[in-house]
Amino acid sequence: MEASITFKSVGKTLGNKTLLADLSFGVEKGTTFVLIGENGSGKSLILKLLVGLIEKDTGTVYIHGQDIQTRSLETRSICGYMPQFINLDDELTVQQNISIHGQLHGLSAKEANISTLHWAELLDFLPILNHHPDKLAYGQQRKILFARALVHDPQVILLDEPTTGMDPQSRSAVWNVLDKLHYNKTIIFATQNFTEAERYADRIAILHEGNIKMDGTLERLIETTHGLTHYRLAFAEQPPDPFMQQLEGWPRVLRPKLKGLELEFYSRERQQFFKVLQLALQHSLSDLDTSICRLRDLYLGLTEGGLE
Amino acid sequence: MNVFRPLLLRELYDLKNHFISVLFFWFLMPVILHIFLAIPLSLVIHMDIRYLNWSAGGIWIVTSGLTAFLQSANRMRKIQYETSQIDALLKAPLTNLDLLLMTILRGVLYGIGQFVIALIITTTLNNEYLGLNGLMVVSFQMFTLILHFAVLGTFLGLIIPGRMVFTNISFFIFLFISFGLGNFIPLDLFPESYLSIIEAIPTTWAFANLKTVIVHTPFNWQGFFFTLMGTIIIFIISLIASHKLFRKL
Repeated sequence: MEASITFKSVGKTLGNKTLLADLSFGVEKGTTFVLIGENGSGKSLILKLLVGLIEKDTGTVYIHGQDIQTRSLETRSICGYMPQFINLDDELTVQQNISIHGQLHGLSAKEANISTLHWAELLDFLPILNHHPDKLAYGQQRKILFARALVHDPQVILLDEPTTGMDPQSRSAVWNVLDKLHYNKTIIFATQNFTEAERYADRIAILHEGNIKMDGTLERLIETTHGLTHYRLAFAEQPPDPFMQQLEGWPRVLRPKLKGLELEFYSRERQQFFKVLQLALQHSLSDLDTSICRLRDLYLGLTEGGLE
Repeated sequence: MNVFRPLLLRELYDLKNHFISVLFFWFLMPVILHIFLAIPLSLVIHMDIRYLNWSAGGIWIVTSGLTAFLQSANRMRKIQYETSQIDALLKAPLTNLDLLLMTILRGVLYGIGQFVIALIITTTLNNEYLGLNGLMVVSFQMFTLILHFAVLGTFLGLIIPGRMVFTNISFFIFLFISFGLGNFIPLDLFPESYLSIIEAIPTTWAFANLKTVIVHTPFNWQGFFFTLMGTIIIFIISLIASHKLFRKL
């Protein structure tokens, strides 16, 4: 598959702090790539770097074969970017905000207005087109940012936590749009929402402290856990301290954690679970639940450790 | 790609959305300066020509200069420091130069609007007749001064993040321009030692030049050219500063 975005040994520091450390990865055309990571892991930084809002210190980045440093105007014009924070122009109406943004990206006034109306209809904000953004709810402002990112029909769509603050209907509208677009656009979105990442990503990269800890398809990432299973046991009464101490002494029971009356742990072996279950039955066990390890578990294991 | 058309359109939309308040201030500023400054000073300052006619030049300079300065500076401060609108603009395929030019153009447009209204008001109140030639010379010089203040506003708006610091600096600048550079108080009323300092500032000559049309004295081109040079230098410094400030963490 043809590469849409290529990062080669990209580094960025701020003072003594390394924000991006020799980062290299590629994103194929027509795929959805998800960046997942904690606050400050470098997700937003990667997106900002792609649209030229921040300059890298080292390395090279290509978008559709063009170096973002030397062909910055061209690469910026083919990208649509939805930032994490609201940066709409409060002096203008919603319609004017989106239309001007479209025209700045090469659309004629007529084309920009038609496109604005198209997205307003699709995302259900036609009635507020003549309102000023500062008078709108946060979720509506996010929807307008989303429409603004798409108004010029960009080839590469970069979204920073796109559905944060949106109501379920708006979230659904946003994902329906992305579902339709993802066949012929390259989409990169940064998120902390594991469900959305699992549902919509073709490839996922787990970022931690400016490094990609792991990346690949969801299936491949899950495969790397080698059958790790998540267990949850609920108790009617607080289990005594020796119970937990005993679990912590078993090396193949991973990350045992007691939260209130609920015990959570991971294991790759069913036998280990039976051992814990046997012990738990002596301490007013009331419920149990098991699930195959998902992205969230993998992410916690990679960033916090304890699942090796 | 021509990014100026949408950027200009943005300013026109902004003006259209706030036209009544802008127009109100365009009328209010010269009227206030005329009533609360020029008229009282006309009772204590005596000169060869009528003081109110002479001070009209000061009203044009202070009102349109202030408007150009504040419009450019506030726009720059708003996009750079008070909101994150700079990201939306810098994401678009435009250069730092485009953005600075547009901010300056905004100041110039508002400054010209203010000048036209101030001119109408002072000529009406003072029963003054400039003639076509005088009007052209005044407009030409005012354009240079408006441009100067718009560039200065853009520069200070770009480099001063603190609102309080910016407000204090703006206040000082316009107190100095109004009262310290001969716009409302004739320079010959100041001590010699002070004059020797302010005569080194080209803008002082540019202000004095504007009044040559009113008092019918010879025009000094040096002041005009030095002001223009100063404007270009401030603009180049702003451009360098923008490369240090934009696209940074």
